[in-house]
Amino acid sequence: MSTRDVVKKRVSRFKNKGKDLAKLREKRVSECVELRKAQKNESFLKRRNIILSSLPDEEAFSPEQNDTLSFRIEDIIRDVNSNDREAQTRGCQAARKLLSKGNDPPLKEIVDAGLLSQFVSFLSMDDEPTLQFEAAWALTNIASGNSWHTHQVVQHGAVPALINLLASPMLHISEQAVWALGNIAGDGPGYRDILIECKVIPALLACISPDTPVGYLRNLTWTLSNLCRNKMPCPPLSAVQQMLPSLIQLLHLSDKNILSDACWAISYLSDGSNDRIDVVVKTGIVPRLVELMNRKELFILTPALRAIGNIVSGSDLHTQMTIDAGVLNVLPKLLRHPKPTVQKEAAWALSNIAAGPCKQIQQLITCGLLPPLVEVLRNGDFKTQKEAVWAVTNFTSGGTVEQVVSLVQSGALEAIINLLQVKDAKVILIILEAINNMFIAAEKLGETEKLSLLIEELGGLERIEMLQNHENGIVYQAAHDLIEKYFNDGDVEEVQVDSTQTGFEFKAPDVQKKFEF
Amino acid sequence: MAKRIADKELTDRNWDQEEEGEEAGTFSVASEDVLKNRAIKKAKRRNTGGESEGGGAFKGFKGFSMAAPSTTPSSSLTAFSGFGGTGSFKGFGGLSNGTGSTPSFSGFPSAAKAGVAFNGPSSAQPGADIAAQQTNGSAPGPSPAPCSRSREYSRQLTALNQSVRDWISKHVNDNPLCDLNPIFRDYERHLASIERHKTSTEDPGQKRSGSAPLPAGVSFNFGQKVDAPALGSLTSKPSVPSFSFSSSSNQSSPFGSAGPSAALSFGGTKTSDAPAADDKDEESEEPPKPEVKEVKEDDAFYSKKCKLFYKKESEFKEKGVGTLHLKRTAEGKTQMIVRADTNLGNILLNILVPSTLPCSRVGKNNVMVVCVPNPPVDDKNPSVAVPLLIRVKTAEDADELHKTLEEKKG
Repeated sequence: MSTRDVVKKRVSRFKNKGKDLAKLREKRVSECVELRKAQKNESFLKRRNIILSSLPDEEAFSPEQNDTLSFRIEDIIRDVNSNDREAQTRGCQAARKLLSKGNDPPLKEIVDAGLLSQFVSFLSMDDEPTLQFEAAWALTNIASGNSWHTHQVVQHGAVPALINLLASPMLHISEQAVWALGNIAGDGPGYRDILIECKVIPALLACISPDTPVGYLRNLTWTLSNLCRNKMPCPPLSAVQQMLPSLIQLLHLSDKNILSDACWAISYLSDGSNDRIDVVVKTGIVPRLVELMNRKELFILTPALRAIGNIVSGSDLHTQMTIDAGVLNVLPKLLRHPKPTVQKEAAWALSNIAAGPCKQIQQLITCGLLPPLVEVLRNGDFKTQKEAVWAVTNFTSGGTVEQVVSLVQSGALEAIINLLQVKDAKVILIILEAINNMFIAAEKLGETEKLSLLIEELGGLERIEMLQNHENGIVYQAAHDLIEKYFNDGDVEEVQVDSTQTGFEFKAPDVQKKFEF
Repeated sequence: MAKRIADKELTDRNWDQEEEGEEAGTFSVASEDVLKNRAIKKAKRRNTGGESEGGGAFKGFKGFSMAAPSTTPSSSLTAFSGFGGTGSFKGFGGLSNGTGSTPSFSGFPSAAKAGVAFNGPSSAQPGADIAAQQTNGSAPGPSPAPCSRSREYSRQLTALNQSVRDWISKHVNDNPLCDLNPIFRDYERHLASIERHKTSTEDPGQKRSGSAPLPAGVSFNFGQKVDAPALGSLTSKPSVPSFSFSSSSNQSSPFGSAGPSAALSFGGTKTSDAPAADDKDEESEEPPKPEVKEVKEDDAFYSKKCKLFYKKESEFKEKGVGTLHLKRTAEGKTQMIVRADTNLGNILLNILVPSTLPCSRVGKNNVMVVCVPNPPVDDKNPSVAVPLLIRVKTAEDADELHKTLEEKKG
């Protein structure tokens, strides 16, 4: 039959040409990404297919693509609803092209035209791969719309059919199904879990083989990441455990896009309770994540850093695993990264490591984290400074006396004192807590006087006194209490008065201990 | 557990969006009503002017020293370790002396900031960089590399620039409309004297010919009519230079201004906190005190500077700072007058001291008396006896006052 010949021809073209035109394909894929970014109305978690990587190129950029306006919905409806395979194919392809156009594709019109049932039925026509392919592509693009669009696709029964298509011997058809399913999973936890129940994961994982082309793997990794995504609820633990081994495999490849999406997947999986983090770190992936955190490509560094940041927000054991994997050698670099958000994420991770036991705090000191910490305290943008302040306070809370002294000597005290005038009351309170903790350490050394003097020299007293004017009453109280406790002037307010029969008796205020030098 | 989860969801879609920046900003002050009801505490200053315990602090100080262990003892940086010896803080004592002065920070303390660098070896450079930026045309610009100058010079320049930076930022924060000219004049003066000092203590290979050598650790006065000769009689010790800047920056002549208690009450509060600083105060940076002593009490047989408090409800409220005088009246009775240390010299207390006056020693340095206050403290109950607390500088002074009152009352 003619269609079969067409199919054969295409496949043969695919086999011959696939590799030569890799660059051109990449360009189109990146154009696809560009269009994606430009379309702000589109749901962020979905991707519309402008061009598929495993598609033969002639198919891809046929001139008709630009003449989409010449297709009329009524013609499409008539064709798709006919019993003639050729007409159906023609109609379906026309719809696909309409749905693939750059600006404002008519997703709703196609849905309202009642075409979805037909498209879904085309998916199962194994003897009509062209039709299957066009229908899968059309449905992908509809599912890339908002939740209503995706809902329509699912309601018309596309999911089981698409999952079946994953096993298609035609790579481009299988890949198209991967893409469509990625869009549906990305809609939210509801559809994600429906897909999982329909056993999408084993079907997807079966598509990974040593021969799988990179472009295919990129789509697949992205779809997997959407299955890892979203909380409330998190993906079922069993599903996560199914996906993890493959994600680990993908994380060891060298293609940057695969690495990026795989890191995103891990960052989503590690964003949860400690047992979620546990499942992730037990795969042994932490060293690889630390490696990827050290990459210069921002789109790899960012999710890897986020994943590590999530992991160190877990237990002390989880944190130790990252330290053992060398995270402390990379963090100083990231604290000095030109991009403020990277600095901020690094400072956040540092603050969580500093919230650990003193053994880990010691490792912070040994690995030279104090100087870059002080640098961001001084020069970072405010969001980064906030994280750094948390790091200081956590440090003073969990650190030994010697460690707190090291912290002070590094210049951190001066730096946080210089932040005492900021707008954010929470930050001020955290700083005051750090100073209180430093005094507690000083008490153990018998050196509170010296610390008081140091704070005075650093200009801290004026700033703390000023805080008593703060509009926030808690800040006022904290500042007031700090002065009262460690900078007491022997103020009259402190004098207790007892009245007795003979007059007034006064208890003396506490005398400050003097330290001999 | 102090671990914190991520504050913001990060995805493959939003990670490279421009984040809205957040400004550190400055906090808002509470309203007048709220402030009125707050007890504002003043922090005790420990850093006294010119005391040699500065050196002792370096020696004995193991804990919170800022010394980077790798620096040599003679380096300027160890001199910063611990806490600078000379009265080295910038303060605005005017904060609590709220007798209605002009902008609340118009006063400035006697011993001002020592501009100590607390950040270990790396600190020299930031200081020097600031120096490079802040220098004006008249003084030779210091080179950004401190190693090409004497350490002492760098130290002093760092201290000067940090003082200026902090002073300016504080005052502009408080009152953006202030006139900073006096400060720049003071800066020029200080810079010139540092320069003179530097050249006089360095090799002849330097640019300028040296003038009379000045000892290290000189402290500078700002805003005074006195010039260089007033400097430098301090013993040379490795104390950190201290700089003070003119007080009220929005008045043309910083001193001798009508700003009532602000500038002048510093003298009061500061010296009362720095007992050993008196002998250095002649050449120090305190605003001239002559105004304070204008109003003299001729026939007092006992006078003592003090702070007067009166008891209201369950706490003591400050009446003011002034001088207490004891006089003999024509009838042979004893009169106690406390006059405020202002130009007006208004009376804070004026009573006869009867033999029955309850008078007790309280705390470290206070004397308590109970009497009907004149002028009244409570207009609704003007003839009710009220406890008054007289706070003096030292315990010895308190003992003396108490003894004198006991002897002379009645």
